[in-house]
Amino acid sequence: MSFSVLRVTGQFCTRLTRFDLPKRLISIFFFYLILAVCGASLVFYWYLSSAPVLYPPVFIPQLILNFMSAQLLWWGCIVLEAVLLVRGLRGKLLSRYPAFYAYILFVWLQALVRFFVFHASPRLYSSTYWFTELLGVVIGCGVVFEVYRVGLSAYPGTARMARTLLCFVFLLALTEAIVDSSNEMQWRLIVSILEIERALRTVQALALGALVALFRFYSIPFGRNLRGILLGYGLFIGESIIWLAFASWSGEKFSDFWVTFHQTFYFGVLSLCVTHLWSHQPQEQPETQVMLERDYKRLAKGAKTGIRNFRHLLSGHRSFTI
Amino acid sequence: MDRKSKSTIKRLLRTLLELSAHTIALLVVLGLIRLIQWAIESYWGSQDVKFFDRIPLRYIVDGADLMTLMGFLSVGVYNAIQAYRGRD
Repeated sequence: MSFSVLRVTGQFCTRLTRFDLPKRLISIFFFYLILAVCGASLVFYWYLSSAPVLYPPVFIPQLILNFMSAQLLWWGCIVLEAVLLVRGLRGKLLSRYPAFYAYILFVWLQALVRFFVFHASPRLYSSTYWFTELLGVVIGCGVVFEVYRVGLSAYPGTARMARTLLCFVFLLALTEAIVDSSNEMQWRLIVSILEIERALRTVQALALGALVALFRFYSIPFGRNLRGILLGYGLFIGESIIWLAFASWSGEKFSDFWVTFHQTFYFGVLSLCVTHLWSHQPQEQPETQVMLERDYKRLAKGAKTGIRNFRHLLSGHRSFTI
Repeated sequence: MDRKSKSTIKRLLRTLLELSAHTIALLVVLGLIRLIQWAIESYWGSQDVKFFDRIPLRYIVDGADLMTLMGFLSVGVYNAIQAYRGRD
């Protein structure tokens, strides 16, 4: 009886609101089930990994979990980066997002090079680490430019203005970071690289935030691929900024925690990118007419008129003084 | 009734359905967790079950509960807002 009432109600709701209640209920149920399993596993893992004494019943699962947290995640990230590159190659996404894939290729190679240097020549590890870190940040700027290029491809005027503004802001941040670090009593390479990284990552985060705000304001949809890049890279630099903000004064315990957190987080970010960039999805068209380019033209026209008036004023002033 | 009011009512109904779907699924999952806890405790014959003599079952259950409730508060509420904001 109650089942038939539910079924009839479900059918009525489906017809009225186009909301498939049973189907939705099943998918939500599985979502909560996965969450519950994750929550239970987290507590289980936390207790097991913080157990002070290893004894036979705990030893084997503890060993597996410790290996998982230390090694498996690291190798998992490398595998996911490789999957991302292979899918990019097969789905012809490499030519559409060259800077992003160049960045992924760089990060992939960087991990392997660091690993090789660490084992082959530990003396060189520190300089290799910081040099690749700096290079990564610079290539990362290219990803931001690319997000702007692809996102604003239908609005050439706005894209041109954004590109110029971005160039200016990046140069400003770079100069500020270099001047800041050179002002210190002793010039240290690591400090300056950290300063540069912090400044550039902050500008990247602000630039991505501004683009998202612009798209939200004009109701422009992101394509699935671009959304993946934006989400993945945005989350990654957000996490980097938090780390860079606390890195200088955080204790050893916090650093240890953050290293594990970073690996897990980065694994999640890469999984997100892989699901969004599995194949090429065309850029979605906005449902309503976008006024972005019209607003840009109006702004540019206003600026031109302003400059012209200013020139006139200057020339008039000159003739007046002469 | 004009078109705008109809659309608002439809969207409200969809939001209610989304929220009720989340609530029903949440209650079923929480019930399942309790059932598993009860089954393990009955099998063990004690209220204070500890895996490997170290990890209390109660903490694992609390972890699962907390994660599910957090999911409800974040994803459930977000989905309900999306359902309301979506077009009818």
